[in-house]
Formats: sequence, structure tokens, C-alpha cells
Amino acid sequence: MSNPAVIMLTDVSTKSGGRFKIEDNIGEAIHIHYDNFRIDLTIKEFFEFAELIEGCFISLIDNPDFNINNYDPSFLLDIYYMIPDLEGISFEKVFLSELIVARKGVLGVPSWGKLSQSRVLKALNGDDKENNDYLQKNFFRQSNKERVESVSSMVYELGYPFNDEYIVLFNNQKFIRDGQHRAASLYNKNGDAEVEVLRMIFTNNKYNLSDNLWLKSVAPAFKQKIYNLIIRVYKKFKILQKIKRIIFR
Amino acid sequence: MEYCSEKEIVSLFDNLNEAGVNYILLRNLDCELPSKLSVNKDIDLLVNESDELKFEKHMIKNGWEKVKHPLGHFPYLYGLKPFKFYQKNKIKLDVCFQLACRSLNKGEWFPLDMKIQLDLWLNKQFVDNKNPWNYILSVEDEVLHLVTRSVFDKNRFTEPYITRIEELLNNVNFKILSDKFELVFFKYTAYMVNALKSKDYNNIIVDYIKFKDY
Repeated sequence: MSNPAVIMLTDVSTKSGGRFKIEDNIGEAIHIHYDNFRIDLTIKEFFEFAELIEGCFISLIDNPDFNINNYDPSFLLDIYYMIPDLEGISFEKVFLSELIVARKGVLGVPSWGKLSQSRVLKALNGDDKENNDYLQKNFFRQSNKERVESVSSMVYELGYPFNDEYIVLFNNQKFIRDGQHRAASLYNKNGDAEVEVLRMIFTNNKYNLSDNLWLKSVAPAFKQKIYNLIIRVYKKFKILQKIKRIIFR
Repeated sequence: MEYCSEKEIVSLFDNLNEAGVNYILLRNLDCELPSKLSVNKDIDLLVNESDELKFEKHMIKNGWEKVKHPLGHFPYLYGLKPFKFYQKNKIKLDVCFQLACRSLNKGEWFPLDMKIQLDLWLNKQFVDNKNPWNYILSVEDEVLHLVTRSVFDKNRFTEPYITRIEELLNNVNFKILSDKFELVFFKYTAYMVNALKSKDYNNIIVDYIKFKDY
């Protein structure tokens, strides 16, 4: 029996090179695939299991300042490998205008910019092309546009931080590592106000980002552009060959 | 609007009947067939897997050209036979060999449960009327097909689908329908049946995705 309504909740590689997948088979069961094993759970059992894992995760982090509720769970999944290097956590107030985000720079290559130049803020003001074209993970069946609308309406209605989740920065830097949608919504609503952010401090400033994103990105970006150009030329060549075949058939 | 030639559509079905191909006309929404089918639309036909070769030979012999499917390449899972697409003049024929739907995951196509597939052929309805096609799906199978197509392929219930579903629900056996739904919607079956009975088409898909009583 096969279920067409499978929503992939997680699909990652394990350290041993195997797979770890969690699927929601709507109406049927939650499946956890771990290499060749499959565990079937009801939703209730899955929530209990998730709570248990959450407890394990917290106990592995030897830091009393770490509160798992302060982070978006999908962000924690992205940074799980950094956690062993976590030295400390602090909360501080920063002006929104000081925060830095990635944006489309000269020649379309990503570069750092102020929050006021953020694609999300632009989208909130009606110019949503850059945001709609941006590749990102959203909730199931949620478009980039819908995500902007959903987060901004939550910020407008429930304030910040909601659900105890904060905008996250690393080490001594001001790059937003998580929470660009929240920061842009706050900026759009209140202008350049002071907000509380969470700063994660890692050993020896590990995981810091390069100050010059444009220079770092320009070579890979052009490589991709050249690759796309070759593919386009190749496709055109194939079409021309097809036309030739039809004509001389 | 330009329509496909009625004469050619009639001839298509006459030839299939004559050749003894085991087929079912999957849908005829808004009664477009045989005289009001736009040239932009296609005819959806289900052909029994065991008649695939016979069908293909018959189509080629009758001047139909097998062309690339307009939806392009998409993954087929669980042994689903790829769809085939034929064209003759302005008539287009979309042929499948199993009742299938798209997965909510990445939109891969895959067949509905084996029991549903077997029942299709046992329960197909002979339509003894002035239309040229001989067989359509049973009432319950057609409701299942239209609902799965709306939920999984189209992600919405469109007006022609709603009209046809409501027409069919007047004659449906809800016990049989529920048994079929259970093979697709599992514990959501009762909710789905109730939603159809109460015509709550706008909320079905969101309710289904948010369902957590299992």
C-alpha cells in the first residue's frame, strides 16, 4: 500500500554515509528511516520521541545559558555540527540598521549589505523580485512571498521575540545568521529601533563569515553563469540538429 | 474557440472498440466529448496494461503519432508505467495504464493501490448510449479518481470537477467509496467523505495536510 501524501520532514546523511529520513505519511504514520531500518510511529509517539531527542540534545550541550526554545528548530538543524564549539551565549541590544544581510550585489553576485537593503525588506515594500528568485527552504507548500507575509504578520500581531525565538548573530559579527524575516519586519514596522538579539560565541571565532562576500562569491558565480551559458548553447544546438533532421528526412 | 473534429473523435473510439482494446475513458468533464473538445485539451484514456502492445500497434496503424508528453520528463515510482501521448491532426490522446496520482512530496507520479487497479477493470461501466466510447469508470472509481486528482495533481477542486463529483455522489455507494478512500487517505477517510457530503471543497486540502489524528 502506498501513500501519496508523504511529506519529507527531514532527509539528511548520517556520519556513516547512510540516510536519516523522517516522513509524515498523512493519515497513516510517521516513518523514521535510519539506513535499512524503518520505525513507524503515531503522531503522539512522534511528539514524545521528539521531546526525548530534545532532552538528549540539551544534556549534550554543557552550557547553562543554552535554551533550546530560543532558536528556530530548522536553524538548529543547520548548525548542529557547530554546537560542540559553542563557548557562550549572550543577549544584547543592537540597532536594526547595524545588522548585515546578504543581498544581490554588483553583476548579480551576492554581497553584504545593510538590513535596509535586504531582499525581505524590499519585498515588504512591494519590490519582491529578488526575494521571489532567492533559493531557500520554507515550510511545506510555502512560497518565499508567503513566508514574508506570514512572518511579518506574526511580528506585527505578536511582537518580537515571539515563541522566545531571537535573531541570531555569531561571535563579534553583525551578520544575521537567523531571523532576517523578523528583523526586516521590525524595521518595516518601527524603523531603526533597538532590538534584543542572541549572540552565539564559538571557540576562536570559529564559523565567522568572510567580510568580503562579493570577492569570495564572484568566481563561483561566474563559473555558474558560464555553465548555464554552455547548457543554453548546447540545447540550442540540439534543437538546430532536430530541425535539420526534420528538414532532410 | 477551435474544437477537435467530432468525426475523428468518433472514429478513434469506433476503431478502439472494433480492435477489442480494453480501455476506459477516464473523464469527460463538462461533456466536452465528442463535439466540444478544444484543440488545446486532450482525451484521457486508461488502457489495460495487458493491452499495451495491441493498443500501440493499433494507434500507429491508424495514423496516430506517438509524441513526447507535454508535461516533459517526470519521475515514475513503484513500477508505474510511463504515460504515453499520441496525436493525430489536432486531437491529442493522453494514455495511462494505471490509475495514478502525484505525490505531495516532490510531485513524483505513482500508482494508487493494487486493489484499486484490479477493481477498475472489474467494475468498469459499459455505457450503452449514443456516445462512441464503450467504457467509463464505475461511479465510486470515478469519484476516487476526481478527488485524488484534485488533491494531489491539481491541488484544488475546480468547478468542472466539483460539478461532476456532485453528480456522481447522488449515485455513489458510500461504503464502497470509503473502502477505496481508505487505501489512499487512510485515517482521513471519514473526514474526506464528510467534507464531500458537506461540499466543503475549499477547506479539504488544507484540512488534509494539517490532519494529525493518527
